[in-house]
Amino acid sequence: MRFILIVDHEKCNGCTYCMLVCSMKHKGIIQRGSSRIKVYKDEARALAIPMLCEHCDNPPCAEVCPTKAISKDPKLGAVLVNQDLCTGCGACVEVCPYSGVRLDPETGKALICDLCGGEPLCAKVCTVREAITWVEATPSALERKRRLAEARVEEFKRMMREGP
Amino acid sequence: MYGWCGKILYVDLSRSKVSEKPLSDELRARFIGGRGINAKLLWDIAKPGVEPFSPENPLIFGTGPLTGTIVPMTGRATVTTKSPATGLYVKSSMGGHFAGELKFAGYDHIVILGRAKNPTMLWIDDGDVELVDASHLWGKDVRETDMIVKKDLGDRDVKVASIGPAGERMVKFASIMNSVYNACARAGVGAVMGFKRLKAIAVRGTGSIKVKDPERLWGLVFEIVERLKNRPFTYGTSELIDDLNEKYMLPSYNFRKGHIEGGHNLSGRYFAEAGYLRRKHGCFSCIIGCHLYNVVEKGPYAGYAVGPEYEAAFSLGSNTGVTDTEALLKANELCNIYGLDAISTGVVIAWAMESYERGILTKEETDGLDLRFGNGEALVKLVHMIAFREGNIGNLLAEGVKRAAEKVGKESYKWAMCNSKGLEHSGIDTRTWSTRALTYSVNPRGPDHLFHQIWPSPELAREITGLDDVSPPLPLWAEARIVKWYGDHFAVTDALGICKFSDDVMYTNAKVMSDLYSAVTGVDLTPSELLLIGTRIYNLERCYNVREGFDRRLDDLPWRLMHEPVDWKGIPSNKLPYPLLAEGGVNSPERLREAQDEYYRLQGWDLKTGWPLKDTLVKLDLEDVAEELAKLGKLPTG
Repeated sequence: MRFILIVDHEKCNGCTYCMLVCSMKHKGIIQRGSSRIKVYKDEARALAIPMLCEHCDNPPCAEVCPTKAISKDPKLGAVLVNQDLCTGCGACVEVCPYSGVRLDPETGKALICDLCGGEPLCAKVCTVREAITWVEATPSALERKRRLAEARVEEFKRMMREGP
Repeated sequence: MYGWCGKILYVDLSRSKVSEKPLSDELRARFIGGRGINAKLLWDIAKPGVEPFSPENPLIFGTGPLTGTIVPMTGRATVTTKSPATGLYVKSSMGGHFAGELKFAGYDHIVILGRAKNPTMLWIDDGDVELVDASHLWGKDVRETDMIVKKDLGDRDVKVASIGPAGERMVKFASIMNSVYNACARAGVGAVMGFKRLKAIAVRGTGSIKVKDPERLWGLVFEIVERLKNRPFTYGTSELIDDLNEKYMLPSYNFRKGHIEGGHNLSGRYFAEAGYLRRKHGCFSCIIGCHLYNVVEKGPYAGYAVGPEYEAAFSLGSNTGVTDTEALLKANELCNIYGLDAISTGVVIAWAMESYERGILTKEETDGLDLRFGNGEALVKLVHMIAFREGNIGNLLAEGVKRAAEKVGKESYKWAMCNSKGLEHSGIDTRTWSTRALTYSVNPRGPDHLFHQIWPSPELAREITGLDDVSPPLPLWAEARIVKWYGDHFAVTDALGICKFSDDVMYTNAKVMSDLYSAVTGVDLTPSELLLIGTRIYNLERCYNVREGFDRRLDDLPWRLMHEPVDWKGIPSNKLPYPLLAEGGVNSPERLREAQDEYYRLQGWDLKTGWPLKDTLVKLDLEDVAEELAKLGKLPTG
């Protein structure tokens, strides 16, 4: 059975712990800018919206990538970046409908969630709130993921419109 | 460097200069970080006898070596200074996201000296640090300040620590707030910031933190994360309201009673039931998130209302006799955005209410407020008046309950809930809990719960004391041992940056803390070596007080708790909290003295003066401190 990552921003408490473990796992140091997940916050209203790759079926980032550095892993369903091919042009950042791509502050290359190879750490540590969960890809789970991603993007756009 | 950033930022507001110095190996080895290193910096930098409101009194911010790593629940920052409320040592700590941001900006500590000519903001943008004009922020509340600073800098991710109108007016119990709703509030740290005309500190950190042994740390972290999943407190500390109220141990009506009808209205569970609770919010790296984010939809108190946690719900609620939820939410919200210590605010208002009901404060002196217990409207108005020092009553209460009672006289000290140190008492009735009486009395900053949280399970009490039967009352030597055990653990917890809500998952578990410390920093320490540092920190804080004029007479409790029993009229005897009840329902001064004797002996302190003995300080590797005290003639040899 395939698994999928579901993010429910209503449950997110804004602690940003997922960003810390993500950067540690992938870079060996703790640096939020190199995390593949970013929690956007409005502290005065206690709002927190984690934004990351939704691993689209036909990822627009792969389509626009001029060096074909982005591909989809058929087994895991993850969108993967070939670091050797990536030039850091940022086309993927622009095109992502989920604001799920950023560039590494040091290498300048694309940072996209790789589902930790099948055991996403962000879900593993979000044990109390379960804002991020790693669940079987049943039809109902897929539907829930779609619905929550849409709601999240709406909320995110609203937050961006309002400005800091 | 692993865990630490390795830098202290020095700010001189008088000369408008900033500089940085390395965090020395010696400081880290002896005091770890956070509260520990802060205390040593205060000792070294503040001259003996410094006036709290003077440019020479340093205001010190500190973080711990675990903050900003993958250890969860480590977002605490500690602020240390000489208190304008007590004239003694104060450290106050806060959650929120400030500590983590500061670490990523590259600093472990900030030392602020001097006094700015005009309202100023410290802007730390990674290594670029500057002092900027904050005239347009002066007068703004904490919430407005936070939002304006983020807008000015065009970055919602900046973290802001600021004072509100209360800090600007140097209210003796003004707080410093960060991430809008996280307070560090005890004993007037915000008043010192206000004196310095430092309206805010804004931080943006994009740097990184390294750990020594990632593999070992992951193992420890996964275990902690798994155990945190099963923590029972759904509504944070405010769950204690119902629990203590049912046990007749919830201080009510200015500590005259231990129970209040309708107390449930003050609890987080009720906020959820009644539909006020929108969501819960977390501090930096805390996967639990105990902050209650409430909204009042309509009526005179409509608006955001974050919190209150247990202490604020006790002080502004049961202690003032107010069970109107919306009045409590509003009063607490005003404490947040005006930058007031909610504990002290509630305690000083309850004193005014009792004085009013006794006819000692007239309606003229209360500026027309009908200050009867339970008057929620008067409560809300009074919070505002205190923050802005409005009228006779606002100005009187803004000085804290000790000074207010001194000014009003007429034996009103008998219901002023502070001890001789001058800090307002927090929300546990120490008459019903003898170990607490000891710990509140010896706490270096005053009678509250955050230097030793005495809440051991029977198993833990057995482990600490070695006794088989730990049903109270315990022998005094056992009580002393429990108080010291917690004091050492708390000092280490605060030095590392861990939240005390982690309970036995981290903070009462020295093995876990020493494992984490070693894996993060690469410095191997056994649990007992780590706790010895805790003892060292605790004794250094005591020494600071000794240097500033402390002696044993200040280790006491409020008059009421020493001389008057709790009013349990009408409560069925099978409901009383015996066997936790102190003998006769009061803390007799004699019993407290005996308990303190045991505790002083255990600590190695002189029984007459309460000062640490020379041998004690030498054993704790505090010779430098001992030398200075010897010069002042304050180093008893026992």
